[in-house]
Amino acid sequence: MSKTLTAVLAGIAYVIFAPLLGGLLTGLDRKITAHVQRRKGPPVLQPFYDVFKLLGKENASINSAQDFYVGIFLLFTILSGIFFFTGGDILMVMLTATLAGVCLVVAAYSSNSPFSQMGAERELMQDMSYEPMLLVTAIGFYLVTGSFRVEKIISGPRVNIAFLPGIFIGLCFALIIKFRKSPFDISMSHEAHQEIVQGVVTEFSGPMLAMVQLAHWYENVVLFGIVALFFVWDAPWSFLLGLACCAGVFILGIVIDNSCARVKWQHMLRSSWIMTLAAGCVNLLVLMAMR
Amino acid sequence: MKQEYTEIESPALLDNVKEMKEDGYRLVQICCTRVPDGYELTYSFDKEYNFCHLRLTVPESGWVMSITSLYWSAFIYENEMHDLFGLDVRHIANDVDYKGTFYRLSEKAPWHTPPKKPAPPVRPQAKQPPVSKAAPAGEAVKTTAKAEEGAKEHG
Amino acid sequence: MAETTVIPFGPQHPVLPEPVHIDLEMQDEKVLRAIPSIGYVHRGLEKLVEKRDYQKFVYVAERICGICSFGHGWGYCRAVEGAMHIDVPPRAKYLRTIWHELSRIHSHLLWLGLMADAMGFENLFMSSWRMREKILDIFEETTGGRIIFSVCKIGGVRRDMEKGTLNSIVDRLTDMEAELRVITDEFLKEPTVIRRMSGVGVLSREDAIELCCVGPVARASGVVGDMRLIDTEGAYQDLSFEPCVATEGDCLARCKVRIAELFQSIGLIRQAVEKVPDGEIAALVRGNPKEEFFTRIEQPRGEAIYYVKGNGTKFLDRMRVRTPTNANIPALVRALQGCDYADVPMLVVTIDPCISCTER
Repeated sequence: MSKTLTAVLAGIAYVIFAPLLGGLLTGLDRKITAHVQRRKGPPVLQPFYDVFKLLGKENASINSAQDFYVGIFLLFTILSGIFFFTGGDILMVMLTATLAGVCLVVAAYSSNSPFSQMGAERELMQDMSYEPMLLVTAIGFYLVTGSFRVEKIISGPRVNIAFLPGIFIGLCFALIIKFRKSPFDISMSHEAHQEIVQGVVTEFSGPMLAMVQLAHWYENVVLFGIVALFFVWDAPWSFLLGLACCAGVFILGIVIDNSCARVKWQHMLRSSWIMTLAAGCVNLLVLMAMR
Repeated sequence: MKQEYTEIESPALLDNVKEMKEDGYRLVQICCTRVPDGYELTYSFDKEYNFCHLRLTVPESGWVMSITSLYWSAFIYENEMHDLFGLDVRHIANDVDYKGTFYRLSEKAPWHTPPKKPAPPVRPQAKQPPVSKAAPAGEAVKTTAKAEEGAKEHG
Repeated sequence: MAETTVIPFGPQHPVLPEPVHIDLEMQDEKVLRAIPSIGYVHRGLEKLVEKRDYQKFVYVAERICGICSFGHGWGYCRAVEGAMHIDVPPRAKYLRTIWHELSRIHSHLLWLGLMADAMGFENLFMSSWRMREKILDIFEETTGGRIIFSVCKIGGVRRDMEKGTLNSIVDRLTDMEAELRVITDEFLKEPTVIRRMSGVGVLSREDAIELCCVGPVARASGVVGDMRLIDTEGAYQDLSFEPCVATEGDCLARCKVRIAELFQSIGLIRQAVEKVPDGEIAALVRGNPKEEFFTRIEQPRGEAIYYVKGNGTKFLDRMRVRTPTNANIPALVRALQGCDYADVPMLVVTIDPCISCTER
């Protein structure tokens, strides 16, 4: 009984607090990036100010299909987070997140703008680049803990990363794509951008754009949750270890963002699949051989 | 720098440019100046820092042959001449003939009209004391004429 | 048969410093044809010369462009001085050269920043522009203006720079050199940067000659041509330097040429400050121009031509500026054919477009 209660409470906490956490992370990201570039940067709460401003604007959407799909995108992202934080099946988490991503792409396609369409194509390329790695991660957890469920993974007897080092490295690589940072910020990036204007979100404005931002914050929290899965096991203090490692990955992401230019999508696809094969699949083979 | 301007005639343009090309000259620019009775085109060429020019005068209603067949990059200058001056440049290479859309302007050929010579300064008339209505017009005219004569003597 | 879409590149685009419109006929992600269209910053400055006193027109000529501002002012002054046969005193020539070389450094740093931004490397963009601020500070101290500093006039310059100021400029440039090396090494050695720039937009030597390219675009393809070598109106005759040339002809080569020119300019300023003679800074100007004159200078983007035609009054008949970007647009149109869409911003930025100059 108490397990269900904990799960429900965790789910509710996620829905309420994840946007706050996600927004803070984004704000911190921009502040740290600014300091790396030796300038002052915007205030840490700037993303919240931006979202409130966007919510107050007129909804100038192209067609009603766009509104519908962006709404579904937000809904499924929150759903995938709820699955994760209530201890659900990690495959469900990933599949729901993919479905959400596809809804975003359809929303972008529904407008006639060439930039939006190119952004949508590139977003699909990005999906193809990191999906294999996420699936390999889920399989890796299964092989180590015997279950796909998150509640089993975090209560395993040993720390998971001891068996999944290759997969962890591969996941970090995929996360750079997922977090939309250089060198893989191809379809859409926070700062303006240089090839396809704003890419996928070119035609979104006002409340639509605010919803996309919110969905990205929810998504970021889930992704950091998956990173924490590697470091959380039976011991109660392991949560702190998980948080510390998430912070480490966060900082690493910022450092890499600031030291690389953007690459073309062909290169992103190639390098991420090579990484999946080399780091991820080799790890899986080793695990299967160990059984 | 020596400035050599070689005057040529319109039909001989392509032959002269062909000679330049075969000699290895690089096309530097094409300048169009509006002169009262037409356009004055200056084609500038350069080879190893040796700068020389061909000059061509085209009447207002005339046309000039494009040299894109010899120097493809001339299309920039020729499209510009057509868009700004309204000069008829014929046979620009197909893929670079923008037919007037190269320069986005609100009126066609804004530099077509020749520059207005600035008007000579108008001398202000010598100030007349206020003349009462009763005074005959003839006297006022005489005074003005005298003032002008006086001015002419001094001037 | 796949259908072609037309994607409008510009006039508003995050990577463009100035508005230019290029219609790209595309098939999937390959560009089939590029159709340029300009006129967004056309101010009709060449026609304005008929209504402004030729001496006051220097101020208008400088405002043709913000980045190449000093070069335009100098070019116009040279053309009028040539038409009126005015001899500029040697000190003025040296001072003009020093300001022009500083302009070149500031322009190349601006371009480096834009290139980094076009590649998505914001960190380098911020660092390059931070270095550029130091040059702008030098301009402000010596002339009073940061970008458009009206210090050139017909016959000479309007302000003098004393020995102390000149030495402090050289000291500051020497301090900057070390940090500049760090930044430019990032450009030339960072793997992701090399991957984006190497082999992209290759312009062979024959193409560069046929398309009549000028400036770093031509020099990166192996065509040696630098107007400073024959310049008699600046101090270049007394300074020793070699034009910076590369042979590969791709974006990386153009980057290398501009970076090399950056350090070359610092060296030129050092030499000029050592050799600057004393004397007057302006010659007296009497009368009105009656003749016509062509002059050429080496702007940061390449060779620029200034032509004035006088008719004896204080309004000129014609003033023509042919800027280097104008001459490089055919190269851009040719290079865009058949390239990948992701390379389009890189190619447009790599010829260093200064559309205000092109359109006047």
